[in-house]
Amino acid sequence: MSERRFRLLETEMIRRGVALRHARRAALELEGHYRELVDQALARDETPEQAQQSAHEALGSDAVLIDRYTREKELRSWAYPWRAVYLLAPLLGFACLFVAMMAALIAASGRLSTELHHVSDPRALVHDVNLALTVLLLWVMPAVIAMGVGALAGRQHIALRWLSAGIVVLSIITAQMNVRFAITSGSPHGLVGAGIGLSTGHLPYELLHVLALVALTLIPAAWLRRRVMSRWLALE
Amino acid sequence: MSERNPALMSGIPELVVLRLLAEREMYGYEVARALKVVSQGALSFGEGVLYPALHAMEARGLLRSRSQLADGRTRIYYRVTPKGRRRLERLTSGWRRVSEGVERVLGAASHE
Repeated sequence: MSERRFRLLETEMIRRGVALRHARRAALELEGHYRELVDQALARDETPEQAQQSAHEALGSDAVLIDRYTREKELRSWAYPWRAVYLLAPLLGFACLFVAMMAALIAASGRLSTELHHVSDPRALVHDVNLALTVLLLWVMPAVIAMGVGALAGRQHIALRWLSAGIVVLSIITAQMNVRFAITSGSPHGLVGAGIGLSTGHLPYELLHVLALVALTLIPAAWLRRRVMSRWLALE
Repeated sequence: MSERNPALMSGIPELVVLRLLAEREMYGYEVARALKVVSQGALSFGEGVLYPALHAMEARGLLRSRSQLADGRTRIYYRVTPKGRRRLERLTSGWRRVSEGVERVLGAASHE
């Protein structure tokens, strides 16, 4: 009962915008205080029920405690006024990682251009690299980013609608992207290039692609968010 | 008036908590007990509201905390920082001015 009160209090504080670390510490300290009050009441020969009741009363109501915490601006979460950032977070995360991956690929390709130019079957290599890039950049990366944002949203108790909206937008954009890797001739060592583009042809296929990507990214992200949130309420 | 004498309006919890912690390091429950004993019950409130005050004071750099495990429980001990001591001096002198002013008014009123 007492543990449940403090877990719920902690969760409610986070939902109302108290920073995670302050809410966590508040629950820890309030629970410790409560136990000391119970011990003190038991030492006065109160029954366990009376002791728990008087300890809860001495601490004060949850509404007052939450109100005091939310009133202190130093204790508020920076993220609370910016919940809409979860709409943009998957996109920004994807853009940053995508640019980083492309830069790394271009750097690696530049160094290996001589070797790649002498590959006996460059078409097979290009096909394999393209497949790997497509799976990694356009399927795995959005899913990983969505899960990361989902875990963050769980820690902040951010509503699912913000997370879902961001992930759906990310899925639509990544479904419209393509990545191409090519070995071209024309310079002493040949050239290696990579590019992105948007495709609007084959609408049914594109729609299926979006739906598959939404399922791949949203379901694990929502599951992870729920799992992180439920850890706060996990009771023995 | 509250701007010139903040202790009168909202600084009382801050003042008394800083005063108690200036004596020695304490954890929340000890602060609540000390407040009750020293004020002889004059300052009574839901004991839980002490924590947002402690946390806010720590966030403003007036207190510093450390955690310690005792009897299987984690206790967070608070102590006053140099900035907190300066704040305590200001609040104390502000409170004394207000208190003496009120005493003078009450004394004058009783002689009329």
